[in-house]
Amino acid sequence: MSAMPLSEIISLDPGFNSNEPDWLNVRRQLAFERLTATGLPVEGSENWRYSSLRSLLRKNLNTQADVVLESEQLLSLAGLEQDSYRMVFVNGLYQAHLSLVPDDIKITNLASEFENSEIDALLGDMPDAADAGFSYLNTTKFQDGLFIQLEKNTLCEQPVHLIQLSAGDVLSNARHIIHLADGASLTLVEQVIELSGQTGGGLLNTQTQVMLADKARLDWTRAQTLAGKSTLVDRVDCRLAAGSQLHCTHLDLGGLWVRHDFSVELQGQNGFIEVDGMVMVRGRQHTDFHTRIDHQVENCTSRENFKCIADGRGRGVYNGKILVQVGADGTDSAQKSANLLLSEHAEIDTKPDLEILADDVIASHGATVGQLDDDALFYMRTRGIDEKLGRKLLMRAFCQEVIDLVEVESARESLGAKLDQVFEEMELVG
Amino acid sequence: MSSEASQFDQLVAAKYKHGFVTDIETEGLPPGLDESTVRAISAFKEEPEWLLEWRLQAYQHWLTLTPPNWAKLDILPIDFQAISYYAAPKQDKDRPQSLDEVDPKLLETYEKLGVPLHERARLAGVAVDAVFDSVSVGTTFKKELAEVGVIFCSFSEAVKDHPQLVRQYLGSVVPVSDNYFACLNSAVFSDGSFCFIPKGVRCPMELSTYFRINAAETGQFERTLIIAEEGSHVSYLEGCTAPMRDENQLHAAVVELVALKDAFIKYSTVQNWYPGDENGVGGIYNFVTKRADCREDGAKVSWTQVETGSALTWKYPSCVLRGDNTTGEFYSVALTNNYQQADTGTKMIHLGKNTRSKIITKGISAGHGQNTYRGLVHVGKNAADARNYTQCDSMLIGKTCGAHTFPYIEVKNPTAKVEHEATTSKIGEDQLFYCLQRGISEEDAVSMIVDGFCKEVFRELPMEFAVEAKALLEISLEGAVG
Repeated sequence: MSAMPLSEIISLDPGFNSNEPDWLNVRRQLAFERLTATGLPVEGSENWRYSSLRSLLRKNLNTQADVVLESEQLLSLAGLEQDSYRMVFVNGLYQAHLSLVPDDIKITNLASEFENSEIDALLGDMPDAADAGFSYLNTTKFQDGLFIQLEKNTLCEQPVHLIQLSAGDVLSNARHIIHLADGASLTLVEQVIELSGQTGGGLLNTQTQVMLADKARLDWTRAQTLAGKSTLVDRVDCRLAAGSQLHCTHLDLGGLWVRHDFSVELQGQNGFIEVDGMVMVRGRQHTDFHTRIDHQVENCTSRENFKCIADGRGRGVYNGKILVQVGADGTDSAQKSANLLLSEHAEIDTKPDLEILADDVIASHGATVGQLDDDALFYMRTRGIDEKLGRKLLMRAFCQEVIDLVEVESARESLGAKLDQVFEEMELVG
Repeated sequence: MSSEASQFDQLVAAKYKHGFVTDIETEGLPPGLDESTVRAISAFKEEPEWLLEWRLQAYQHWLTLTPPNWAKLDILPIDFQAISYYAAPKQDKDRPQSLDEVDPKLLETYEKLGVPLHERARLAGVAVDAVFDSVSVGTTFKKELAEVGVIFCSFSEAVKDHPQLVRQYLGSVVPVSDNYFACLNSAVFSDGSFCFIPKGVRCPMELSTYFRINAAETGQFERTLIIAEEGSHVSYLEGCTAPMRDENQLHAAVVELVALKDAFIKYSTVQNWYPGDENGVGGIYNFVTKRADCREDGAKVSWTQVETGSALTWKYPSCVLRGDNTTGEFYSVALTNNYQQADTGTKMIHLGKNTRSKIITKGISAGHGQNTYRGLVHVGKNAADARNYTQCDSMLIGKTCGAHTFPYIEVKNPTAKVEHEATTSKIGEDQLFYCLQRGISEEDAVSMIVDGFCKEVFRELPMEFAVEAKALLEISLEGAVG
């Protein structure tokens, strides 16, 4: 099939695929009906007010690309060791020959589990909203994704790496499920990388379902370093049972147009969620980060710390919503959005929301937009640190709070290095 | 606990103290709205042709609009055809020239409200342009104001006596097409206040207008226009109470402030419209568009509001900081009890260089009240060195209320500094316990804590209002403790 604009792709009926189980066909058909009814989110809808899809809809996209990738190449791209556990997807398709998983734990690709009737239930209810177009698109089109199901009290000693590669002008849809049973624990490092040597400019539309049962724990690092013209739409839905913990750190350095929707439902008491992000926008980059933390029961804790540096003509958008439902007493939530605006053409739009329907709660949020501190720069210059290095140090310090939260040391170091590389490329002397 | 419960019941049963109806026959238009209604209002008021055209233009535009639904408000559909758009006291054609000629029943109303018009005006040195329903019936201190050149009169008088000024500034801050309710107001506004402070004049007294909604089923559409010329200074007080009523009454006012070079306008509001009864029946629907334009360099506008009434409040007093070195301030206390809903906040639009804005809001929710802060801080591309500080605090009293915060921050200039912080809390058990232990009743303790919570805002109110605001808060909170 030849390339066609996204606005046309969304009108293609998935039809009935006899190679797929019935539940999946039913699901795809329902998603297609809803997508036809709603379309992709339009400008003016509250959740998309700062992110216009206009250029995205005109984008010509292919359905596949020929990619040859050797193991060596992958390891150096993703900065992995020979024996790192990894699940590799290129344009949303599983690469068995590049992946390495432990035998004793269920970490596999979703397509190999399609006959497993449990999957339908794990995928959960389809959203029913006017602005869930990308989610419907994903359901009509996804071919594969990561499937992790840890049994009760299983500990995965080594971190698991999820590598998603984007190559060519391709629309790829990936669907991931992470399900940890009671007391299970996992460290996941996710990377979204551009495959070098390919003409960039694809659209990666990923959707992830995370379910943590009682006292399960997931440490999750998500780094995105797509190339200049690539776009990403990413949706994550998490459900946390009693006493479970989710620590999730985002780092967004690349992509021309990026949208994240990160949603968490705290369904059991004493749940803990920390979601943090470090976003860097330069050139004409646009990154829109939406989070939604829904405190449904008592005594849960949530922490959010988002940072953004906007330079060039970049635009950083953050919208974090904390919802405290009726009866969710003892909620403790804090939310912070700190932004550095470095260029006269860059823009920051931030909106930390609170919706509180219970009275015995601690809820606070803060948002700042500012610049590098001139006094600090001056001080450093008096100490012989030139302005460029001074700016780099201040920016690094600004980011460090988020980088420090990355659990896996190797990932923390490589992300720090990537940040330094970005600072190096920036026109720093103002 | 049982004594607390009984005290609670007793307090819940407390009735709205300002609920009464003055029995004055009103002469008005029958319910309904079409082009002839607009023409009739204009004819009643003997308005010039250009104003009629302006109204008709607004009406035509209004027909193309749909009511906004983005606010976090549960609004019953409003039947605009069921509202009478004009009501005026009987004595309309023969207006009283002094207070003595004012209908004693009218004065009685003010007495009941605790606003002895003449006394208060003289003793407190406040000029009161009392708006009863839709037509101004008494304006005081005109002479004293006239000596310094301040024009303070009803809107209708201004249209007759100062048409150039009205024509120049009307709709220049809130355009006809601005929003659904402002557009409706532009088409059917009945009366309001007009204030003009000439160059270099410091207004010798605080200007005050009391609004009342009185006739049943009469929506009130006030229009206020304040112009402060270069280097002038004015403090304007607006306060309102309304009689008890079961139908939802619509109130859609527009307030426009124009501050020219180095002018300062302080606009204070105490809003106590009828909030509906304890079951959420009745109450005023209050949709207000308030905006200030700091049009020239160095202008400053300060909004202070205490919102304790109305079943539904939709109000965002804003500042357009157009000139360089301009300043906008917004101080607000919004309280919702029983089934009241409030979606209120401000917009600070930084356009000029070196502009400053400060937002301090305190939201208190009790009963089944829903209280929303919705604010926008926008720093435009050319607004170098803009500075904003926002602080939104919410307090929840009880298990069934809600407090929400939706701050929009949009920054397009790299020299801007914008800060926003918000907290949500309840009255601490330990604070209450401490007070009880010292022999302070729970009711007094709550009132004291709430008063402390709001202090930052009350401090900004003129003295006369500060006292009233505190009392209002106490009345409004009655029944909320438990």
